[in-house]
Amino acid sequence: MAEKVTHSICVGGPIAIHTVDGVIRRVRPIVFDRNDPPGWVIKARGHEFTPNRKAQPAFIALTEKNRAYSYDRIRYPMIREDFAETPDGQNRNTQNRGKSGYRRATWDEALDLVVREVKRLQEKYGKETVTACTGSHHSWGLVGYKLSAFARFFRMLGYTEIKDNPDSWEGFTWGAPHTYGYYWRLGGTEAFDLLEDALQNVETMIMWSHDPDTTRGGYAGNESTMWRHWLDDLGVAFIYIDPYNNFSSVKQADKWFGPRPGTDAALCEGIAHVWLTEGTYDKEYIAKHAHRFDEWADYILGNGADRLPKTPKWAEGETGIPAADIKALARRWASTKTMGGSGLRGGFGGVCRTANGTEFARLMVQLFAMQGMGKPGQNIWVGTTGAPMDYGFWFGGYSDPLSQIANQPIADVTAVNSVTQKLYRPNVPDAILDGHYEWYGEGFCGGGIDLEFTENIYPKPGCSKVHMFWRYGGTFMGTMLDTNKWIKMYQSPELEFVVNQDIHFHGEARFADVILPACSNLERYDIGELCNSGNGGYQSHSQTGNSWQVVVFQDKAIEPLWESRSDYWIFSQVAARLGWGDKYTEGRTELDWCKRFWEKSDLCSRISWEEFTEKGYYVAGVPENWERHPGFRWFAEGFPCDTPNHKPFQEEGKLGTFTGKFEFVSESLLYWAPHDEARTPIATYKHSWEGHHSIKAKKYPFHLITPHPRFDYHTQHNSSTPWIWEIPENRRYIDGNPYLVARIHPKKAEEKGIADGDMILLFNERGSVLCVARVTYRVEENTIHAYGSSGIYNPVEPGTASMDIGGCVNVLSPGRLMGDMVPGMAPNSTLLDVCKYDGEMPRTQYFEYKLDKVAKEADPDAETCVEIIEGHGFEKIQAKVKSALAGKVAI
Amino acid sequence: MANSVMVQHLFKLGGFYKAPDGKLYKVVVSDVFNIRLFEIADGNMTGPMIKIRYDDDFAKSLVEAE
Repeated sequence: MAEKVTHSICVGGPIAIHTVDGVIRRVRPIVFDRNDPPGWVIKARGHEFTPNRKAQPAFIALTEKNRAYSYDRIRYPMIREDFAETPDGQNRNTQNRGKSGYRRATWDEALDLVVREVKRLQEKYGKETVTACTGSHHSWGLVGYKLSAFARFFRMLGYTEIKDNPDSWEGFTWGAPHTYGYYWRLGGTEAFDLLEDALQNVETMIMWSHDPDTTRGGYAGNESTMWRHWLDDLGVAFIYIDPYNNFSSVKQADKWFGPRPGTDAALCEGIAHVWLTEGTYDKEYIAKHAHRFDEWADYILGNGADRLPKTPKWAEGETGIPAADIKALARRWASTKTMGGSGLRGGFGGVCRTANGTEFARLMVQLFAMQGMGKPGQNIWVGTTGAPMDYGFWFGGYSDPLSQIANQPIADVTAVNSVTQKLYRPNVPDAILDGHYEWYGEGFCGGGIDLEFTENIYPKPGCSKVHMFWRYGGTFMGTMLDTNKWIKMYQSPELEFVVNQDIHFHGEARFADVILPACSNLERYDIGELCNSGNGGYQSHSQTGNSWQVVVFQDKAIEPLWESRSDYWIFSQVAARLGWGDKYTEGRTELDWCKRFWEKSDLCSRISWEEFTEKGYYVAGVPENWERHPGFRWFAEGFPCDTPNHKPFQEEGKLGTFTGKFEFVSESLLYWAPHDEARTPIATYKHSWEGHHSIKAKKYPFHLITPHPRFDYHTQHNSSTPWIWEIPENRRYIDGNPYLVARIHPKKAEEKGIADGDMILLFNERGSVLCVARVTYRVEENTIHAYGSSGIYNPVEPGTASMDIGGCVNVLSPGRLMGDMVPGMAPNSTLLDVCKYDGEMPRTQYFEYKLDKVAKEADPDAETCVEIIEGHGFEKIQAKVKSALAGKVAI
Repeated sequence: MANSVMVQHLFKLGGFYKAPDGKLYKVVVSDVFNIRLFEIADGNMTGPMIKIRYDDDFAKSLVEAE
């Protein structure tokens, strides 16, 4: 019995993998040895704080074994049964996408078909006829990441790029820069060294729409969980504000407020009213650092155009939170050193993903400015970032242009896309189905605030429409808007050819004509660092969200299962068939690329390649007397910016707004969008276009909130990891189907005749989803809470918009963006109704039959999906792996 | 106030600088903590990432290139 230990980083954190005879037996956290450096020590209030000597992954990372051997692995290349390769691209039975089964194909057959179609389509329509898009973080590692292998391939091919929207924190990206700049951090604030500041100074934490124990793990593991316990131990008061008394809140909150969804901006205004009338804000700071504050104050006090004072009593009417509580909250905040915030780096609160998301984000910044943002213990900081870090150690992050195989210096030659036409991710179906779409903005817009206002048209004048879609990783059925329209798009003949390349048979894979099976992180080589988005990429130095900076050699624990292959191999094969394979690879294997990241970073000066690959990871220690540069202190105290966030105007101590100050009346909005009704020059609470003031609320009285999931990360785990279905707060497995839990208040449940554990139907005019009821006082009375990002999409009638039993609640969300000029999505502005489900339980075949059929064709003795889910098939897989390794049978 | 001299104020991110020996470098990281360069040869970034302190003799010898 030969056991080996390898290391990897998965979504959820760094792990060590124990493999015996070619089968993964155990996955565990990496525990540091005596040769690894000591942890940092923060001294605060008579105590010393230092992290545990191990990487602290989230639980989802520890399920990687289950996920690797998952029932819904795409085992073989597959071609849709009724796909007809017609020479003109017509009559291909596109209406059957989602319904049809598949047949097994060889790699040669599948790749040759893909290449023939790419050539045919690009010759007929032009290069821009191909589009491609990735899910977010469907795997981890700098070689396999979407800005590496994927981007290199498609840029060299030439394609219509689909711009991502900042779907996790929309309101901050589209709102906050107009108040305080920081567009280069996508609206997020800077958190450098604020953990120490908080431990030393803070008295109150406002966790607004923020559930770090739930949402932080997928991106940064549980590295920061201990920090928040330390603050608890020091007696810091935690106030949670969320329509759902979330998992962090129930553990930690001294007080929970549950506002009606979408009314948080009204609560901000009520708090501001208290401070203005009681004079409890930092007048000196505001006088020095704020722009047109008095005009905004007039609006709050009732002297503005609407003549409506935003009193706590008024805010009570909107939010449902008693006026006395709002006053108490405001007074506590003003009288103690307070940090907090929402929706950023760990919070990803749903409030930023409502119709009012931009206005909330701007008001949030304004409230912290009123209390002297940047002074000790006064800052936007939510307990998830800002740990000490060795800023002298540089290793690339995934969004850093220096750290992508698409670019120099990692590649010898940078790959450049020859096509300038673009699409916008939330509206891809609208563009394909209508043949015309216009929108504002350049996706993430980190390059300048002006990029929010660029006008885009599809098709771009002189360009052809898109006729081929290559989907790569994850499923948008569970993350985008009104997602039944994605079905309509896939079934349209406008899309002549659809490729899906993924590890698992997620909700979107079954709409493809050709499916290419990729392998998981554990079956290929890569290199990466947890939580590092790149010091030149989005939100630089995000690694300060970790207690330890750990770079991992992602060794291959097992060979690719069945006929899956690495993404890099797949792209290399297609490139070779297109005649530019050598240009794509530059003669490098995946391992060679890994080494390039080592030699083009500081890693090569710290540890040899041989030692690194042998040990499997490197921990960059923090110098004992590290340099401190607390976020925003430079601005509060009036010296040139000394954080790694440099912009030329910051040398003069200015913010990134037009005036260099906090703009309470936004000059940038007055310049670019003075008549925009969704995002006005003065940030104000506005009734949602789908909220409790809507006429529609009479028919659909409940608000749906669909936060980032606790039991998943995006769509990656819940669909493929049946272990997680055993958590009663997550799903319930009934008759072969894992139904999602949806939460409802007891009072409303009683009115509807719903008992805990009943089957309930969530529905509106866009769709319906069958769930299991959890009746709980943890949810605000008018709210239904169900986690978003279901990787399972399972309509009772495949390929139709019928009732979904996979928990894909995004079929219910509105397709509308926040505003005509605000291209953010707002899934938490969804109205619906709910009823007890007394109908017949679906006994239909689920999607697994498609996989089973292909597997049985390939191997009559193949284990079925259900056998794997229920555990019986797992031993069979293990046995086959062992015998394949012994050269007896092919797997 | 923290550092009075900050690296990011001295070297432009993305800027090109020439050394006395005629070699051309591109600044790829310039913040309060680091300056990092790649040598440019034939228009391409080559070799390993070079890390220097702003007060190194080498850094002082760099002249911004057009």
